[in-house]
Amino acid sequence: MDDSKARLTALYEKHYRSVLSYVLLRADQETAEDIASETFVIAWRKLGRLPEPPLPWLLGVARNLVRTQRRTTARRHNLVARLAELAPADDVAEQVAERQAALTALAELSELDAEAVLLASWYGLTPAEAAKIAGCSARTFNVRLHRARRRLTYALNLTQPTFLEQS
Amino acid sequence: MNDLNGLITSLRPNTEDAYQRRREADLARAFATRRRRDFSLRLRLVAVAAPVALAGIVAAVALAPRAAPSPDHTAATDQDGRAASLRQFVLMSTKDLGVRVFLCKQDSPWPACGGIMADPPGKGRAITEQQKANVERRLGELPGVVRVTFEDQAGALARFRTFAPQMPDVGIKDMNESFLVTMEPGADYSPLISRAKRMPGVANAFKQAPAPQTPPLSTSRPAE
Repeated sequence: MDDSKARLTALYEKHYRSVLSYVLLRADQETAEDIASETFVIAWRKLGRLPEPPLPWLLGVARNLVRTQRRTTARRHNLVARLAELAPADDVAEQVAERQAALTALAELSELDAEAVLLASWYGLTPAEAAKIAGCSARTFNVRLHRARRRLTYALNLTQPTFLEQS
Repeated sequence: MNDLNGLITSLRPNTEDAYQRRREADLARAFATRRRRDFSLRLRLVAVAAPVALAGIVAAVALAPRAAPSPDHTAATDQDGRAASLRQFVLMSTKDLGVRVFLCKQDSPWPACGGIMADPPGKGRAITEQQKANVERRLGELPGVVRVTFEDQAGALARFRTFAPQMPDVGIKDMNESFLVTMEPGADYSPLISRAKRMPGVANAFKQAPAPQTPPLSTSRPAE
């Protein structure tokens, strides 16, 4: 296997799950997998010019592919509704309840605010990186993220937020 | 659980199944796709360069500024310019129109010579004397052929010198031997080219092009 193949393989192994989990919010399973696949074909073509770190770029490509896909299929997926469908099955009743509460709280947020929380929590992106994917300024993203976290904390009775604001 | 981050993270969908299921096919699909442009250009450059091998590349580099005087001097136009310069030399008109059949030389990159078009290109085997005689005879027997003329490396170098006098560092070892196949007026070249390409010891075959209408090398090309 030559260097570039090894590089793409490493990229895929490291980031496929992140890309797919993000696309799954916007598309059904089969479409999402196809979009994730296409994302890595594009990464392969541009392998020599990938930014570092590559994950924000990959997510941005995936998001654009989702947009194209949506135009053609004219289907819309509500972000939180998708999350509810996708939430991993779990036997522990307490966790199921907590997750349900979190979903309910997320559903109260605007879609953009919900996305801000997910991008920050799931992928550990910096506000600047996440803002690019969300298609807004870093400042706007910070506002969304802060607002979302404040509301969620309140709604979920999480008295002391243990996360640090990234700004 | 009172950690918001943890709670949000627990909502992340399971992607492990899909990862296991898709990994192999996704990677194979990507690998089957043509890579970025500079890679394919390099291959093209090698493909065009092969008959003159190293000389061609050296020539192309030196000629590129003339060939691509674009103010927007991107790598792509630069490479295109080099490839164009090379192609021009490879197909350069002699007085006779016809088909130029290039013969394999040692370390040629052409797959037909057992070479590789990788980076670095090479590893091909030279045509044997027996193969050379066979190619000459078989070319002469093909329909529409008037004459088959052998050009050795010295002849190729002389032609190259008139084409590119500013490149004295290109040597005889960089040149390919070839046959120039002269054809009857109006003859169809393409069957002969495809037959020639299949003959053992033949690197490639090109139709000799007439001099281009607007040669990019007009300042350096001597009158023929």
